[in-house]
Amino acid sequence: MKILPRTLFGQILLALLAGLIAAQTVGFWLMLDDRVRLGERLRGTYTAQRVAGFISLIEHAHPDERDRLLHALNIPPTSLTLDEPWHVAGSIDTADTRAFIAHVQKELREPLTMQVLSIRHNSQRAKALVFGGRHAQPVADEEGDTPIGEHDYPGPPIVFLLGQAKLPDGAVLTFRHTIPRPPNVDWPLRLGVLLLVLVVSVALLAGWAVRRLTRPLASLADAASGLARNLEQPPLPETGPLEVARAAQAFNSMQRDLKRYVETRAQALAAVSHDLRLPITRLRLRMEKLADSELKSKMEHDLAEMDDMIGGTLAFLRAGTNQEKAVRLDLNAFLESVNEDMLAVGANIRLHGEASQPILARPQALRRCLVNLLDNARRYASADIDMSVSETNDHLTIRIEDRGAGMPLEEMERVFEPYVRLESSRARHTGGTGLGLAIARAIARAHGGDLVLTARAGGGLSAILTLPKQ
Amino acid sequence: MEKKILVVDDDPELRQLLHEYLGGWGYSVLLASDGVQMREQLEHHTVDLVILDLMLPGEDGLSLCRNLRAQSSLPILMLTASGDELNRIIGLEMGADDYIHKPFIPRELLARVKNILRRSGDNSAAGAPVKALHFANWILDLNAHHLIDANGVVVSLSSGEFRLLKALADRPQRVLSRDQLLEIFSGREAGPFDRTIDVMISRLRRRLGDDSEEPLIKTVRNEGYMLAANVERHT
Repeated sequence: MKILPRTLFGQILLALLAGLIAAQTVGFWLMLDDRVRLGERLRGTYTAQRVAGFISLIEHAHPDERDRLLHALNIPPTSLTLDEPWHVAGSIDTADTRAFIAHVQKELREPLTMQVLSIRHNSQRAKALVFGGRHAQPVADEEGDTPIGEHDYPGPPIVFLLGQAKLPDGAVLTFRHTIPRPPNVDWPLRLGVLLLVLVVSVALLAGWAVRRLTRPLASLADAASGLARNLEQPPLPETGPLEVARAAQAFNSMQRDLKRYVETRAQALAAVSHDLRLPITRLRLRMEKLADSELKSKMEHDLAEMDDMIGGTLAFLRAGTNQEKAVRLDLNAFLESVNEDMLAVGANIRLHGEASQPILARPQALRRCLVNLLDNARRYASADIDMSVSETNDHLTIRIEDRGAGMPLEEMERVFEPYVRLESSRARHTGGTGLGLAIARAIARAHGGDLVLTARAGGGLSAILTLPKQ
Repeated sequence: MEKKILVVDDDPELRQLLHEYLGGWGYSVLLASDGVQMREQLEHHTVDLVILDLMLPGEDGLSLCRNLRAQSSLPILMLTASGDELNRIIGLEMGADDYIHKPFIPRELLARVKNILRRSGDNSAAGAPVKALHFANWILDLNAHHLIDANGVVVSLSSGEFRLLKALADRPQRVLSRDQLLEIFSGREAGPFDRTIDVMISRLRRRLGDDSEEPLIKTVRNEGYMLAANVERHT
């Protein structure tokens, strides 16, 4: 279902509002139904009482006065006449007519022959009752317990009624009664407005409350995704509802544990690397006692390699920490000097573009970052390297591009992991320690920038180093 | 006369190896395992250079270095096992004349020892090491190997440019010939230096924003180059 919102906020809000609307709708409907029933009962009772009253009046009036009385009583919604004969045929004998007649009889307290000739119902409101009920039966109440609904008129409400009553003196009273339409036809609009006001106010209030509840969750999610990049991020505020606060606490303690774990590992690695330096130093001094030979130079080479690995490991462990002070750095002079130094080791680098202003950077670390990238380009590609500088409003981009064999797309992230070398077949004397890119990226990120690899258009590899200008 | 070198390191084997190695190169080597022994040796002998390990049991190398420097101008070479930039800089600030990372290449150590001894021979009143050279509107940071302009912006130098500029700034207002400059270059860290001095000088001028009318680095026809500015040495 695409229509359903995917956020917790949206779902809770939707559930709340749906529940509210459903409950309100059912409530209003029940109330309305009650009101309608009451109204219909009252009107039904009124009709029966009115008809009974007229019959009683005419019945007890002197025959000479009946015409005058009829004239006076002939007011809508009831019209009366004595001129029509008793209709022999056409009497309707159904449950509702019987209920009506019974009701009139009850009002009159004396049996009177009556018949209903026409009855029209309001077809729109099924189940509404016209007759019966407590309100309609004060007499029944006096007489004893008449359960509500005993006289309930089972059919739809009557809107028009034509009936006749035989008076004791033989006269036939014909009455036509039109029940006026219920006055409250504007109820859907008023109720709709009421419902709308309720829904909107509840939506606002619930929205605020739910947002308050879900915000710590959102920051928890942010913190979790940020943790991968920065273990040093500040701990989460442990606020909000109990469950969320506990999640934040658990997260913070997890971050502490992780940090401690990483630190312990780093310390162990650093300690081993440190401690290896002493035996290597000793070995080197011992080898000075040996006569120059091929074996000796090979051993020296091995030692140099070990030295590189140790240096690389320590540099990697240090790269994320900002021990060096950041200074305002003339990037153009910096890149040229790096270039110069790389020329000395045989890399041919073309420098394009210029930075317009000094940047805030740690020169030693940044130099290491660039040297690692340039060294990679030189090592894996050719000596033909392009280094270009470009700027946007807030970032500076340094691209180091070669025309070498490039790298499979799926490897471009993996090579940033420490000790990962692209080709296992490449021995260490060409492959380095597998730390160069990890160090370079750690340095870029410690500067607030980033480092990625992409394929260069036309073949080769691009290393893209972005640095913030401020 | 044999120069006396005092090696202060807590590893007995390394001490012994250094003894043999430096002894083999004609130095008289004294040994100490910590600060206490170091002071004893210094009381009984006149020493020309102290090779001081940074990590020592008891009082550490940094503090020993500071105390030594407070009392004398005895040259100090720090052994920084950590290879830590921070410790290196602190070490230099504490007054060490030079530093070398463990694991060092013995020849490299020897070169530095020679270099320090030559410098201290040149200038016996050396005192605290110079950390920066100030000239015109520039500061040449001798620890970080870069220039700082009047606005505090760091202007990087390649290692060749740095050595050339330092050579000129060490001898201001004096003409240095191309041969002298070349020798200064290849003096310490050997290696083929295939760029000509002239190319280097023009690069340096560009770094310094030198204008042609009043250049900081003057060309003296048929003789060489000189830095035409007063240089203040800051320690």
